[in-house]
Amino acid sequence: MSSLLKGELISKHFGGLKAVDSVDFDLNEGEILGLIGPNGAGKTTLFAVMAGSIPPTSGRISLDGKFIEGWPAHRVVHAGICRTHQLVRPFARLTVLENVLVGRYYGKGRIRRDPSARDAALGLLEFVGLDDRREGLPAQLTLAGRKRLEVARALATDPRVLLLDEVVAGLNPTEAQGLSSLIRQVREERGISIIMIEHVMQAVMGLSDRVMVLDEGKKIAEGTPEQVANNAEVIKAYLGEDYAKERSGTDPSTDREWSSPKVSREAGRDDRAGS
Amino acid sequence: MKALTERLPPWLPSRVVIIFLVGFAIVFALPFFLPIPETLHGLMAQAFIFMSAALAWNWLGGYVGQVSFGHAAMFGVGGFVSARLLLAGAPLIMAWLAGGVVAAIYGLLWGHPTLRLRGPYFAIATIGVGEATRLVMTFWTSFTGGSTGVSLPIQGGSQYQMYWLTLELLAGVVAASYVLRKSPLGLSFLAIKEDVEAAGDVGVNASSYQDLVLFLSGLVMGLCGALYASYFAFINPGDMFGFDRSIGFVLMGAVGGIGTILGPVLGAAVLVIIQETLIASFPDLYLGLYGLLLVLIILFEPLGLSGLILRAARLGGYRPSASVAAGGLSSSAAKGRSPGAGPGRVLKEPPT
Amino acid sequence: MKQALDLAVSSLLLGGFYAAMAYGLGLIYGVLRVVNLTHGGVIMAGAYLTWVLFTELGIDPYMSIPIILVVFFFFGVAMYWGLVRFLPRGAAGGVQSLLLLFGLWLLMRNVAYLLFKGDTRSIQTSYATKSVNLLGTSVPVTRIAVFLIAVVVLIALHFLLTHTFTGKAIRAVAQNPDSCTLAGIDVERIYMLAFGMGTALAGLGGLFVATIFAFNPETGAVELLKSFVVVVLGGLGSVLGIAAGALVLAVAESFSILFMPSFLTAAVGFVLLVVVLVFRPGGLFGEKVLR
Repeated sequence: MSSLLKGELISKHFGGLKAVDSVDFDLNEGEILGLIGPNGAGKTTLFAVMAGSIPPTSGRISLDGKFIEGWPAHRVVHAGICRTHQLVRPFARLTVLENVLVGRYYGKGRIRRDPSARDAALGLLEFVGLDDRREGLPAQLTLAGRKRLEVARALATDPRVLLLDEVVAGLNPTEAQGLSSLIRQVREERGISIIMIEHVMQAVMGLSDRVMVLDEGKKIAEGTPEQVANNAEVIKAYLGEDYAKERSGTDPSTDREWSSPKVSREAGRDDRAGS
Repeated sequence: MKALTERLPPWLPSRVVIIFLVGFAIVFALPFFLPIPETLHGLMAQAFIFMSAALAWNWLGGYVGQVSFGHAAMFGVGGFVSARLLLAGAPLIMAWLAGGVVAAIYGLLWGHPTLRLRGPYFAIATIGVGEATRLVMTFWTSFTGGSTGVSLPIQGGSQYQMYWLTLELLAGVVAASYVLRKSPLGLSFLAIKEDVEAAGDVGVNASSYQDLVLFLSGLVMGLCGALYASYFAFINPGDMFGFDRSIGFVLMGAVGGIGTILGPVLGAAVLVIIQETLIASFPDLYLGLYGLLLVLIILFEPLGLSGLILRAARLGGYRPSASVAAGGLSSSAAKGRSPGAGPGRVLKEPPT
Repeated sequence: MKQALDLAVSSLLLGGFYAAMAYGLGLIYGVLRVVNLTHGGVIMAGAYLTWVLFTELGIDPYMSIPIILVVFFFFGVAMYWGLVRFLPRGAAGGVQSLLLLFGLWLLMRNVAYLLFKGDTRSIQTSYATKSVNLLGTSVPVTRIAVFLIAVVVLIALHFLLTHTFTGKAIRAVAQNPDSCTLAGIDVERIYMLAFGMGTALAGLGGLFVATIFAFNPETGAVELLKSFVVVVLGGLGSVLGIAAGALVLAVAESFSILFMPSFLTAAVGFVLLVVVLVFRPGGLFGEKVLR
């Protein structure tokens, strides 16, 4: 696997507060990298820096060897990195289809408004299970629906790297399983590399090839889910005694029940039944 | 004919093109069939100018969502640049175009840094720009003539010249309004209006696109100012750059229906009519009347007059698509009114 | 040297006036997140009411202060209760509340035109043209009076906001209304109170304007803009911030008189506004105005 997105000594300071402190990361092509850590650890700030929403105080980020740190968000998207938001931000007064179209038209440097754009957008809506909602407004979707919309919109920009910020949070177990399977499909069927911030342990441990742990702005561990789950520092900072006791000795990456493809489409249909 | 239809982009239905062309032809040819008295076609020319200006204001205020209380700055620049050029002997169309371009550049000058601001901050900045422009221009007597203003040479040409030229401008602006609203470009404006950061996060270069809208808006405002100057043959900075003039554009857009195409046209028409009828008897009253109108509209029908028309149409069975509702402020005509009382924190996540 | 002293004194006096005039706008924005476009209109109304009380009832303007404060407090409460509370808050509702308040302002202008015609008025008290000698410079008595009253009012506000329960509740709501509801504070009442107070202060600003300057129904646009400059410069955090912002504006204006006709000094404020908004939206002291 070759390195696709690399960050070196990324720091982001807000006045005296070191939200992110000299963090290195390395995402390989085709990989799913989990990013976990207690609240306030700096995960979303790191995402914001990666995506260009805010510039780093110091450090370098390179995508396929090209340095992109400090680039504005839209340029980062054109280069191939797209993020979703922790609290979903659909364009409220645009239809579901129009939301995805925005990503499709503007995801690359030149406006892609070729005749196949609409078909491409519809295809994405079908992929996430929202095609029968295409003329509705985001407010008419369930939360899971809106999260799927956000993923579809991000996918419309044709990214090489997808940054998912707590995409499973706030969903019930069925919805969460469905979305998790969707994420696995994104990697499997579309070859997109993913970094995901997540608090729902089953999801992130079940999906990730590797996991990175932040605490108070610093990276404190990195490795396979099993390695990280059994890492003393991580347990101390975040996972808590209960989880460690329960899982000690087992391999969290075998939580396959959370990622089988057939669960995805079932859950997708359940999502649409709501509202 | 069919070949032409197939060449049109998907968002431009052929029936729209036909209605537009036919409508334009009818209004254009009117003077040949009905002898229109000078006062009336003069009034219509004036109305056409303000309809164009209102539409152009709406590109920034309604499409992108950046309400400007200082658009008179560009209107005035266009007027005076054109007037000075005409006095120096430049041909008519050249002078007008120059007025438009200079106004557009001026708009970009103050607009590029301020468009970064959202909502009320941008609006207040525009008040500042508008007023600062007025003060400086009034002071710059060699350019604007100070309080005595500038008189233009009377233009020769046919009786209906202004009528036709202003109509042509309006046609161009209406066409541009349609393109800017319905095309994929228009979608980016709506996205910027909804959530400028999220728009950037999916690749929309909000800064450049807003600059584009402002440039175009300024261009048309400048042209309108130039036409206005030629029409009245006399302008002064207090009137051209005045806060009242900027207010006028806001009112035309807001009362008519922010974000729609019909709206500003209606708003401008109504304003011009009211102004003509009331100005003789109650010169200061009409502004207050508009204030009242604005208050009522915001409270009950945020899409203004075109919203009322939409309501009537719905009663007649017309079902607008969601994107029609999306064009303006959140209209109660298209969605149910949310309980507005209380500390109305607008939730980012609508309740499921 | 004498000129510097002149400038310093006049800047200080002007700064006090600006601070008191602007405070209401900052209060309403800080607590309700609403940009009160009627601020200028209320200032104008305050000026006229003061004038009416003086010319019809013979009440000295500075004696009218309690009347002005009370009248405009209730006016503000009525505005809130009748209109403002129905507006959506925050960025999404921004355009609507802007336009609504703007419409109200237009109405107020028109009522003033109807009642008073467009003539410029001023208040001619016996001391209106008197000046005293302060630190070697000659200063109009009215400016000193306004300054002193402004300082007293600002100190009283500071005390109110930091040492009374209601004041603390107001500050709490400005920071986090949802938590306040949980803590048992009646947020709606606080909003109403804040809007009333902000309006009362604007009315007081109008009284100040009436005693120092001449005014007409157009008065208010400039005052609104200057108030906004002060609020943006000084941030919303404290009376001190507003005072500092006001001082900066006053100094900038006073200095610009040296090389511009006084006619243009208003433009200085506007340009300053745009510059500050673009480069330091957090105010000169880093307070988050644009939350």
